[in-house]
Amino acid sequence: MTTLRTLRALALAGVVFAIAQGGAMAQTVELNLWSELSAPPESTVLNKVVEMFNAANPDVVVKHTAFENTAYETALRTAFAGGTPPDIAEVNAGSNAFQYAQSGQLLDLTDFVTPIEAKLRPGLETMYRYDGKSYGVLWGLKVGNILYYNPVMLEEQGVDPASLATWEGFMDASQTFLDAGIAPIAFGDRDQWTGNHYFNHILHGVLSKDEYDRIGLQTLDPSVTSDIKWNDEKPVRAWELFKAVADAGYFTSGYLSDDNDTAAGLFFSGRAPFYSTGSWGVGMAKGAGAENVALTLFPPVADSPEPTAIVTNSLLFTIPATTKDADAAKRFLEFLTSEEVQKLYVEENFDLSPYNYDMSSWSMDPMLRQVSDLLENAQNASPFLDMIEDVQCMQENVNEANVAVLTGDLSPQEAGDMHQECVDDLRASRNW
Amino acid sequence: MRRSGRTKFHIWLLLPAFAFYTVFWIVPAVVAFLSSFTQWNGVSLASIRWVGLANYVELFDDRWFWNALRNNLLFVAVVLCAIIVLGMTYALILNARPRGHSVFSTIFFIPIVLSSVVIGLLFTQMLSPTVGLVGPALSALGVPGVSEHQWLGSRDTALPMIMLVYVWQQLGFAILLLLAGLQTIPNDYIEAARVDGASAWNITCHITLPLMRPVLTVVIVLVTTNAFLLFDLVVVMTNGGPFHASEVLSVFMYSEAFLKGNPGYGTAIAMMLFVIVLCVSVIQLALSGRGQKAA
Repeated sequence: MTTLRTLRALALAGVVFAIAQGGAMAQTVELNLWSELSAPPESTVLNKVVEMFNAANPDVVVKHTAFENTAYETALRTAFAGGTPPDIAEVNAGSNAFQYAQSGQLLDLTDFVTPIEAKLRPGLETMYRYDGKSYGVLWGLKVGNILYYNPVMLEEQGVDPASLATWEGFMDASQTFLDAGIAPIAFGDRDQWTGNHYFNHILHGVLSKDEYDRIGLQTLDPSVTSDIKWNDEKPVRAWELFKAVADAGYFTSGYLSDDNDTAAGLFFSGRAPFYSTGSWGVGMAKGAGAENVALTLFPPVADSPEPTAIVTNSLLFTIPATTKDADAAKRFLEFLTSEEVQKLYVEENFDLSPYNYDMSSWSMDPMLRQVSDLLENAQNASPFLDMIEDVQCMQENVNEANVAVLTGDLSPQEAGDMHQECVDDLRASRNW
Repeated sequence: MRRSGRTKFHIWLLLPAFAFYTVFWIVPAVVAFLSSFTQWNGVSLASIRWVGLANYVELFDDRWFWNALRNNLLFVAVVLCAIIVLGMTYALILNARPRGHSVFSTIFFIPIVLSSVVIGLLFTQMLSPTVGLVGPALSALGVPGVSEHQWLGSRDTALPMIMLVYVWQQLGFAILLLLAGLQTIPNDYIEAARVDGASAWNITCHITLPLMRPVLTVVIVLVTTNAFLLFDLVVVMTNGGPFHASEVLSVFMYSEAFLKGNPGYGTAIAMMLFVIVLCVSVIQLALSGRGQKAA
């Protein structure tokens, strides 16, 4: 009898427990998070962050699905087009995100983002602000305009690294190497984006931040106009400077046929003294086991209006308009911007933080610390041009045109004229 | 089983394959066809605009379309001739079973099992003036001015280099088919011709080649359609460059649809490519059919 009573009590307790659990489950919201961070160390960090968030927020369960980099854009576009995007999505900041915003697929997060902007480094809001509204928060920061050099090779040729502070000094140093029979700049433009970045950094040095941002954004944002035209003196000068590097013979001999990895290999193996890529080059150098690598800001022209300004790239976490629970999603986004998460991200990646936290006590690779110093000293920051210009003009007039300028198929002036024509046609077609 | 019952049974057997074919081929093809009459951003269905024939009209005014088409036709013509001539020659040699023929057969067939991406990367490295072997090797043989030549970065040599690699890659498959065809020719015909005093050349021209016509037709159609649809090798080796110099229609289509964000225009290019390949294949089949009747 006692046994029966005990069993009954246990059964009742089980039912009560199940109901209580059911009630608790009913209040828990599950949010799907999609990202292209499928490879370590970035994937490891994001997964850790998701675990931390879920532990601290028992009413929300964030489920992270990582896609392989090249498949991600297709998957995300298909999901958006089919009306089934995730609750939180990582997208490339700038033009990519603006496409979704333009189609009304993202939540307007202006009120939510405004207080977060207080801790954001200046100039970075260009990456998520479209038509006066904010559409997400940034996670991680890459600096694009970095020049890597081999200090031992420079010393052998008697080149002072301080001379690399200006474009003119960089060219003089390149001539010294060429005279010694060494093609100085490791460069491979087969995939076009490398030439895009070179032109991007030269142009960024020639223009002020306002001019640079506007000349790009005029194709994405109807509220932005540009006083500078692509066929004006300054952009054409940027093309001329780019072409002059090739004409002088400063690029390594496979500059049109090699890819970026081949060029990087030439630099890391000590066959060329200079190589330009973003802050991710620090990780590449470590991966290649390269010694004798130092870095400085990509040299701006001597008369640059803002010589310490940087070009940046970042990931944007956004909330699609169809999200199950916008408030819960916002909590996750806010968590991403917290000092705890940013510290974890910086310490476990070769990346920086877009937020103004005091990083002096954070453990960082010495070269990354150097990039961080460049960031601290920067007058301002702007995104890569391909993040703030519509792809319809960018692809043909920068990615393809940079090769055409190098081969001589287009003169610098023709490249500028073609680009401006595209911008004018695009704005006219949208009645801007 | 009665005849009508058997037919129903056959229909039931075919149904899964038909459903699969409809969902994964016919429906996407129809959607692609309809998409070629639209403009949209590829992100939101709400942005789709019906533009009628505008994409096709624009295509005929687009100099890069004509450039890609010219490159494609040149590519198909050169690789087809090379593969057929070389393939037939090697197949005839291997069919005679000379000493070491099995080793050579294996060597010819190796590229078939390698992926285009691997082959592309391999040749890209070999042809590189900075890390490759081709320039220094030619220099060592006394060929002047090639030590730093950008084989894949020059307008003059980018497309020919892709042709060369493509022929190397595809030759084994053509040899395989042609050798199989040669082995189906009855020995009696050849021996009878020899008894009648026919030379090897006469036997090849008047017996072997006419009897090989059906296999040759298959090889020609396969090589032509595959060459028209070439994509991966170009993307890996030159990305269509330098500045469109090696761009073929499929690469042009990809660039427009995915890199420039014009899916409607991209599908219009795809439709044109489909029509071109269809026309060329039909003409080839018709010509070979007429030839067979004449024979």
